[in-house]
Amino acid sequence: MDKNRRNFLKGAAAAGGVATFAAGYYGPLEKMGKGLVNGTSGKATADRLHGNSLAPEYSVDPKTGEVTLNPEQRTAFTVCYGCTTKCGVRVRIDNNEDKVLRASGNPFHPLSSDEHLDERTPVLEAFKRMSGFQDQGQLNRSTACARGNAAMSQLTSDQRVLNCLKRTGPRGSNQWETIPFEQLLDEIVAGGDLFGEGEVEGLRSIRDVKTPLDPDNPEYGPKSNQLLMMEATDYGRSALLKRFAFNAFGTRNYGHHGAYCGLAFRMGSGALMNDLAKNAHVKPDYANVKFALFIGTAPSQAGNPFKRQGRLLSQARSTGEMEYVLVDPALTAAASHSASDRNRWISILPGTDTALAMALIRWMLANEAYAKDYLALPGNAAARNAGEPGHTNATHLVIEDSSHPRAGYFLRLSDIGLAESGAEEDYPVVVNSAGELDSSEVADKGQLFVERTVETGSGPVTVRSSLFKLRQEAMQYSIEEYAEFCGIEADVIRNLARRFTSFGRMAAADTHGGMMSGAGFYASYSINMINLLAGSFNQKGGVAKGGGSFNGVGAGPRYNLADFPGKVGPKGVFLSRSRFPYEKTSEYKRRVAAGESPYPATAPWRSLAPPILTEHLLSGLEGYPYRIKAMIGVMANPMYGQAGLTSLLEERIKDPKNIGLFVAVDGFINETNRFADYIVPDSVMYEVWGFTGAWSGTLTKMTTACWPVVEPRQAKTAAGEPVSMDSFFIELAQRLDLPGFGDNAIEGADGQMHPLKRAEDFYLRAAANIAMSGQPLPTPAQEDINASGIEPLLERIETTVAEDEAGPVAHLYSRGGRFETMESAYDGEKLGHAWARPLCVYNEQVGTSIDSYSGKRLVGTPTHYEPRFWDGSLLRDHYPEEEWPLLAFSFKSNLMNSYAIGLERLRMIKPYNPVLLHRNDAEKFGVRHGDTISIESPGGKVLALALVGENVHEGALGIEHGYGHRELGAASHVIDGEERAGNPYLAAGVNINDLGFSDPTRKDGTATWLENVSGASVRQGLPVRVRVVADMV
Amino acid sequence: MDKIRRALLGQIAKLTAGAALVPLSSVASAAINDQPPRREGDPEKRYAMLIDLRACIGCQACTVSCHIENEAPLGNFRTIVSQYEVEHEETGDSATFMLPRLCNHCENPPCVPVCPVQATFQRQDGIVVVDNEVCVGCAYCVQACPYDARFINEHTQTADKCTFCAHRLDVGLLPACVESCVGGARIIGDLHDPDSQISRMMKEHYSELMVLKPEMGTAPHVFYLGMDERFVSRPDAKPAIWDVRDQQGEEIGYEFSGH
Amino acid sequence: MNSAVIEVLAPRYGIAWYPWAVQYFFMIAVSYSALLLTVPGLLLGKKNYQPLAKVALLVTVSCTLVGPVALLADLHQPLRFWHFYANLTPWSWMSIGSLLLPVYLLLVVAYAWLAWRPAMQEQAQGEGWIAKLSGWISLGQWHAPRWMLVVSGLGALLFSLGIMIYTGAEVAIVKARPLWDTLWLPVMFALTGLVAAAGLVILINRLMTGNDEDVNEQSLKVVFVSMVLSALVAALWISEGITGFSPSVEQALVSLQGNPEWRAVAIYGLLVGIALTLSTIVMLRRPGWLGRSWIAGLLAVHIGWTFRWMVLMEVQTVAKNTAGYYHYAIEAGSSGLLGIIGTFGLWLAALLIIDILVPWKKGLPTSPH
Repeated sequence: MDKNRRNFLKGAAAAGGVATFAAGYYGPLEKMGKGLVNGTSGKATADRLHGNSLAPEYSVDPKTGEVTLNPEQRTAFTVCYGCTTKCGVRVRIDNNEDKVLRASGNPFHPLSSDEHLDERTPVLEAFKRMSGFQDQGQLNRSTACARGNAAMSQLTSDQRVLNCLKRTGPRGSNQWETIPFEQLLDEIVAGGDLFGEGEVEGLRSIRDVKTPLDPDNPEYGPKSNQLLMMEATDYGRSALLKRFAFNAFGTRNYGHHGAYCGLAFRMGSGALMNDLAKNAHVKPDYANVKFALFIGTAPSQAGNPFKRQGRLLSQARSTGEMEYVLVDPALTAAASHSASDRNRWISILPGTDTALAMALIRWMLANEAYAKDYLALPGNAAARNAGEPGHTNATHLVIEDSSHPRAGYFLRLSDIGLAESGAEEDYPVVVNSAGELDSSEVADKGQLFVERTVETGSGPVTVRSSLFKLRQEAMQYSIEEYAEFCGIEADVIRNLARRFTSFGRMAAADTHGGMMSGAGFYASYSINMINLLAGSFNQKGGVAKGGGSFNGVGAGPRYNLADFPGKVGPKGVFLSRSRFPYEKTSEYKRRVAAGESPYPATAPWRSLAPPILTEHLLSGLEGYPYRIKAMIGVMANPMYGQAGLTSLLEERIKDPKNIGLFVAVDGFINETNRFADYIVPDSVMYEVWGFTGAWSGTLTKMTTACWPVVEPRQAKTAAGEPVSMDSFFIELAQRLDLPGFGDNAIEGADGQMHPLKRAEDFYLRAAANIAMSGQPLPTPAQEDINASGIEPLLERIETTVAEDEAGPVAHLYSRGGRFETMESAYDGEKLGHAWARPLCVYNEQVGTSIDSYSGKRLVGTPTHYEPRFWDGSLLRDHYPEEEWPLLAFSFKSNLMNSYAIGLERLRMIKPYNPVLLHRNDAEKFGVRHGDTISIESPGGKVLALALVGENVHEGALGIEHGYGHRELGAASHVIDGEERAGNPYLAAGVNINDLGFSDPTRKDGTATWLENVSGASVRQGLPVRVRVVADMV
Repeated sequence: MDKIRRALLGQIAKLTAGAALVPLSSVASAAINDQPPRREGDPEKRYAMLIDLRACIGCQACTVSCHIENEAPLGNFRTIVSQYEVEHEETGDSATFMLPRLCNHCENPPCVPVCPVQATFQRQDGIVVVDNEVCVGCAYCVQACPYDARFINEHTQTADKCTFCAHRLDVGLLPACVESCVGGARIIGDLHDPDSQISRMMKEHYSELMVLKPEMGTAPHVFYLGMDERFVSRPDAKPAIWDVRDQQGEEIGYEFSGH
Repeated sequence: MNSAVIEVLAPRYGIAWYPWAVQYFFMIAVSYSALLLTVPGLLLGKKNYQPLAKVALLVTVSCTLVGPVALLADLHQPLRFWHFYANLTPWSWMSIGSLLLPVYLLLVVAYAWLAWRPAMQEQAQGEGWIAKLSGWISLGQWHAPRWMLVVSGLGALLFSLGIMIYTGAEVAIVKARPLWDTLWLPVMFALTGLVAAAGLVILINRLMTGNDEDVNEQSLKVVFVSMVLSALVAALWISEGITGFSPSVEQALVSLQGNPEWRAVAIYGLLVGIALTLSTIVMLRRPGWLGRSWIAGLLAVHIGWTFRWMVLMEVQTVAKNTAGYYHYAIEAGSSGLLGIIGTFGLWLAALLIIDILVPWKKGLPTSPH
């Protein structure tokens, strides 16, 4: 080879080397290019040291504490939708871009602040108190949690629905077209062949409040009941939705998330507090309680009110005096190692809390470790004399003999001929100190344990005192047997009982969502009973119902928002067959008349339960008691939330023959509304109107106000209003010519009629009711208006409410609501807002309700049940331990919730939910930490990673809730022919509800496993088996 | 790590925390890898943080609010709360241990002298900052920090870290993490002011406070109350599960791994 | 591992130094080591080392030119490199390095220029563009006195020592990474640099010259001695850990216990090291095997590069605060594989361009005596 040729080849090779280099060096080259143009290879920064950190919203003079606002930003007070606590927050907004910068707590708000400020404090003064000035901000923190901080990305999410959508493919095919709001209304009102699939009945023809929907069963009510309304929960706008549903459209059927959230807990609590209508509940008075027992709830891990509980628990651990025990299948954040002298975690088998609670009750009764004097108070008079804010029915006598017409009811004065039946003074009867029958309002003390025969108008009858009955139930099993049921050693239970009772009335038992088990109602009832026996209700340091809230949407002092001309009272049987005894149905009567046994009923009729979404959907699609024709869902997502629902519902809901019309109102497409025919874009957090209330445990009365602190981003109506839940129902009602909407819909206290044509027509008048109730709020100073960013709201206030109301209403919004001052929290050693109804050792309503399967009366006191199905058979009879060795349960995440997966800053911290498996179980099934396992239940199968340790009860498998999504941004949708790609990371992880399954004893075809009394979805204690999946990678 | 050494580290952790109360004289001239003189900031102040772990509920409000306030790239953290499941060594009880982590604004910050262009420096009030207009992005400081408190910000292409929200402190406001601390665990303040909340708490809990990695000789100025000595240095633990799997069990990696 | 503690939630940190750093550390170590190999033949003028010096000089120059290019790429703000000189920071090893590096580079270039100049001047007499270019590069036909070569060579050597020290110290002072924080690390950098440089000389000797047996033998000896010394240093490092308190060794042992990958790497390193050492012995002892030295050369380069990969990249996957190890998978693009290949591409180009322009195989200027 000659030299030139060789050099040419070398040169070519060298050129190749240079080319490779250039290809490999493009990164640095690109950076150099940027550096050359911009002086930096990255994004230019606003400040050399602080980079692109946000500009402070105000500054504080270090000497005087004087606050100077940043004119580029505003701060506004509103509500957070990050979870169902609904904290009041302060939102920083960039004035130039109308962009939310960051959120933190509202200092006037009890759910966000330590000791909330008096709402009369000037806003600038509040700002000073939250600043670094003299360390005040650290003493007066008002916070937003991680989710509350992260949630603002909802506003700008590219997964948001911004226009009215109509499906273009079959239901659930994720294909949509954009249509104008007015077209959407026209179509759903008139109906017709809307999708080329045949006729769809429109809302106009469904709305018939006169014609019975089923002439054979007239109790089912009018045809208008064939519209089902679903809502996630009350984020402050439910009043308007209910006004439309119940009182304008006239449907009976409305359901929210409660039945797959915490209903079993709420009803057990309602039974004890004698409030099965609203199911009141209590929370510990954290600030003063000496000992707390948390069963199936973990304050600071999650729960409502999240921050308030977390903050008070922190204080108790670091500077307070409280000691607490957590009973939970899973180790949670509430068990603090750093404060291990103050708290302890005891693990329990899922779904067996009743056993523990009944064991504690048994111990308390056997060792007379209960508040004797308090329990002996038979009535209000005696309680007043003793200085107690209330009393229990421990001493009241219950008619026992089943043959007696009033079996299960309290023996009343009328039964022994001492009063007129039904008269006001027809009080329950007790046995007084002298051993005689006496009126509960006359005797100063009642005997606690009574069993005797009493002469009544209907002959002699055995009566027992409530407490006697409770003891009977509690003594059914020994502590050892209870221990066996729940997997906690008997001595641990005894020690726990001893410790708990040693604090007298300054001890509290608390529970919540962990009660969603196959025996949840009685579990919750029995746990609450511990408080009753200890006498901790209404005590400082005991348990508290709380201050409640200001009601603006009722018949208020300024506007009557409850009643209006032409108001409809909804009639008929709920789709969920609840709050209506089976024995009153035509069906029952027909069966009796036909000479057959009326029991079991075709499907459960739960006379105690509220309307429950867990039954609504399948009942409405299956047609028992009746079929629905249309459905409107507002942010509701039962298909993610209810254990086992998706597999049962999916095919049914897809078929337009089962339901003609499904309209969803939502800012996002979720697992349920992906099957909708139409989606109405809703405002999201910070863009909404509304009023949210207090949570139990908040000792002072409060109402949070929210208003669109930034302009809603979605489409507008022809009238220029943002399309939203509010405008949808307002416009829909007007098109349907329904009462209560449009002109002359709201009556003022002066008799003048006002229109309801825009959201603020309703909400600002509700605000006036709140602001003017009691001592009206003052008018805010100009400085308060500037500091609270309500300037844009003022004009709307002034043009909507009366002149004298404008100032107080502005004041309300300038503080983000109305809040009682801290002084109202306590009244000496008692709570300021006491629960005055008699507490139920025995609940008459429960004890006289008939189980629609067996035809027998329910047990009226707490009692022990193992998890069971509708026919009363036990879980393990159907799914034995040998085949299904583990019990799966869910626990709330301390970060994620059921709809937070779209928040990237939460995914960034915790992108996945490994499942908890006990070390011994892991060994048994050959699972190592980090292995992929398949988890199989009778209803489904999921794949998950195993987190192996001592963080869960042996025999249990824990799943953190909030992951395993299929929608909310996880799936792709085609809108107007263009694909909006889903993000696969939103689908990571597992959802326990995919492991839910059908009740094998239900004969109506399809129903998920629901707790018998409440109809609450069972998700705690699902039988599962696991195996390692061979190398998935 | 054996128990004796751990206990020793725990002791050093406490002593180092205690020593912070004694003011150090500033080094005037720097030999190789010595601290250069401090500059900027208020010479009258020495900012520090005390974290009462007993009050930390692990809610990550600090993590997210900091992330928003300081526009950190997704997947990078100026502060975060590590969460552990721990068995109590005496009782055997299992519990959760929360450990908020952030820049320690050390008295002897190892990240500062390594910087080849003096972009990162310590202010006279003790806050360690990065001048992102000078920083060349060599990441030497990222390597030098024993606390993983620094990262290269992919937006700015410069070193990034916690500044105690100096932009807020300087105008009389609280850092985002402190402001949003739900449990009230984070206390920031001036150690030179004997009446500040942090000074009072430092005095009160003098013997219980610990710092992280005292063996590094960095004299950290983030102090922990309720610390378990097992966590003073890199914990001897079963690591977290890093995999992210979809519902078909496929590993899909970390969404925000960046580069 | 203590199973009583489980990390439930911890952040994951990416790496801060990319493979560019490995490339720089590799190139610059080969550079200063190969420079050393030129000393007997070129600086001291020993005739029997001249063939070695010729190859080694080529290696030195090519690597010296390419190394800083890779280094620049590891800056996230590469165009701000001038900040190093605008903000002199004598207390930072990296800043010191930034001062040493350009001077070293210039001295190496001067040293090579003086060494190659006589041949270039001769080439300039010929025809064609190469001759013309050679004339320009030679800057005329004047005679450069030998002292110039000696001075620039000594200067380059002096600065190479500086480079050796700064590259080692820069890493070894990082207490935050115990595996780096040992005085033995700079020594190991130098020794494995020598191994790699000698290996590369052997390879080039095979590919570009006539596989000169003297060059092979001399280089193999360097490899052998360096490998033995490396083993000694490793032993000293471990014994330091056993007898005293060395966080570096402790971290290493923990890593070996806790991570199967680290165990595999350790075993692999040991095996390759033994294989290389044994093969040098065999090749040196068995006449005729010297011709196959390139096998040892490949192994030597592999060891030199992989050692840096392990030290700089893998050590970054050891979590500082949290339990366990971060996962680092080299990516395909510029900050990964393509960057590595690109650097080698540039090196190859440099090598070939010199080869085209410079008659480096011609005799070197010899000492007067």
